[in-house]
Amino acid sequence: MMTGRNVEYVFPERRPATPTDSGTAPVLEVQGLAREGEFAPVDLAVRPGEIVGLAGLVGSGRSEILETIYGARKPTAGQVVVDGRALRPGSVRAAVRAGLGLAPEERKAQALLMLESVTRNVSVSSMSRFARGGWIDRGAELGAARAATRELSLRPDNPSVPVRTLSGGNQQKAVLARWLLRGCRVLLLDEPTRGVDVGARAELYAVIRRLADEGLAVLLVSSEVPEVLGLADRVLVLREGRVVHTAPARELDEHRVLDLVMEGAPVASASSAAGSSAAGEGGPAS
Amino acid sequence: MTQPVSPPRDSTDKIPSAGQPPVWRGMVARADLRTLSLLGVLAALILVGGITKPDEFLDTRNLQLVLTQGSVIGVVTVGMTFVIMSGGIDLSVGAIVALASVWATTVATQEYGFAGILFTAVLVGVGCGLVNGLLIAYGGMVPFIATLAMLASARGLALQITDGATQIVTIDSVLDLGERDAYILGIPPLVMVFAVVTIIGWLILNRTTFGRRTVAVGGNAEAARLAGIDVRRQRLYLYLLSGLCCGIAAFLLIILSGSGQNTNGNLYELDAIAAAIIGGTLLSGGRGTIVGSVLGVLIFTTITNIFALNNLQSDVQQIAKGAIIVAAVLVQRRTASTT
Repeated sequence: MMTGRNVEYVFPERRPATPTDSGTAPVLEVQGLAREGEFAPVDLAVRPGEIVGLAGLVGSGRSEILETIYGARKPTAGQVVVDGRALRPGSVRAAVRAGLGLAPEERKAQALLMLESVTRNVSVSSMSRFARGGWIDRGAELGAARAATRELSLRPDNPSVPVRTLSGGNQQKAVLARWLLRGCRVLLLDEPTRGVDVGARAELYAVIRRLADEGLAVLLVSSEVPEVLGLADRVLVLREGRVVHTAPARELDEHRVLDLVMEGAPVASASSAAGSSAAGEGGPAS
Repeated sequence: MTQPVSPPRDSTDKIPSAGQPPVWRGMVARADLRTLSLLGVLAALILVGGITKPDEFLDTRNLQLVLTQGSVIGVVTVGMTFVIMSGGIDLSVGAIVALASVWATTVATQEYGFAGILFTAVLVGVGCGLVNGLLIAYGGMVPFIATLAMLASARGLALQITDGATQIVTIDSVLDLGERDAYILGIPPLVMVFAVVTIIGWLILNRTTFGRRTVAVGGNAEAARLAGIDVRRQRLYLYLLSGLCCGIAAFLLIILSGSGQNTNGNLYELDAIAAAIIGGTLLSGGRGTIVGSVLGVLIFTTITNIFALNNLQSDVQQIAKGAIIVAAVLVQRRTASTT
């Protein structure tokens, strides 16, 4: 930072030995998961402490893959295995129960309850923990929400404020705090820094890396290639709904990834793929 | 010993730190501004009633009448408030009240006495709510259409049961609840039921996970789903709840009128929706209060009473009600844009 490097892309240091190299069993395994017309069968595994990135152009099926893993879309083939147990396909609740958490692409439309306080946004996925017979212990809820948001240094340090008054970066932290409080083990991040200003990005990167270091498995989707390369340990490059390359992030650079995502795409099929995927990405998953 | 720099979590929960205002002030600033204005409107109405008809309006019997009349529609409105807060609508409440009231007063049902009438009314209400809920939550029907269909069929069924006749209730223990002898400390039992339903509704909405889920589904159904809430099951429960309220309201109406008629509960859907809207419930869901809705009901019933006492025809009443709804929505929009 001091040397005048672009603040936008200051990434936290990776640990010297990534879990990829070690023999740790993966917490998330995706086996031949596919959705006809959206993406071809994809296999991937994420170990605790590992950040795996999905790089690709808009419309390459990145968000669709993430949402299908999460159960928000129903796969046409394949399965998602968490801790060795297959999830019921197409069920968000099964995924959440198994320990998955999603920070979706459209924060305001898909993640936040804009009329509610930070506390209620953070506690929404773990309400029953603060309730006995459906009756909420609001003191315990506030305390837990405060602890979770403090851990991510969310500003302002007052979980009672409405979530809509927060900046983009802090709103994203509220979403992360939701899953932190839930105690999730696999975090699916779709464009985590969209609409987040430059200064807050570095902070979010640090938070994501720290969560991984604490043992979370992270699957990251981003349109910004430097973000994927800088944050992830391992990168899957997607083109037109197909994984075309998998490599440790340190073995890739931006040009190589851009070559891969553009490579050999005939003009006609590229435009039709973009057209169909634009329809897929335009509306929220239903 | 020196104190730790950062206070322990317990203390911050209970004692507001210097930076943030006390909880009560925040509450007055936000939700209660609307409640206060509703109370102001109600007070103004009482003033109008007191000035135009000082003897009749402020008479205890008249006030008891106003509250009793408000009780039936009030119970329906509590259920409606939940449904609207979830982003839905229930147009079938009036028809369900009619069907429940006639089914509970058939000769066959009355053989089972008090319990038979109460049980049937509640069961019919819940049953209709179940159909609504299944069609909307799992059948994927738009609430407007599904409950419109229920409105038509429930009214039709009610007419079929009665053949247009008024079914007189002969069970004394039911009728007695409407008599003055049954009043406790001057409060009619019907009003007590309304009060209890209101309190339970408030507690459910504000203090339970059910209430939270309702608000979450109404505020942003997609976000609620992705947060792991079973949105469909919640929707089913909400229409069941509305049906249950209709069943209770039907029982109150049976006590009040001493009969069951297929024309019962006419246009209740409009009154309940209007009361909820006036009370500040957002038609798009996610925001609303039970207190506001109940005040909306009381405002409407008071207006009706004042107009009746002043011999103004019901056409004038209807026009006035319409004007009030428009005014309330305009005010709501202004407050929504400023906050």
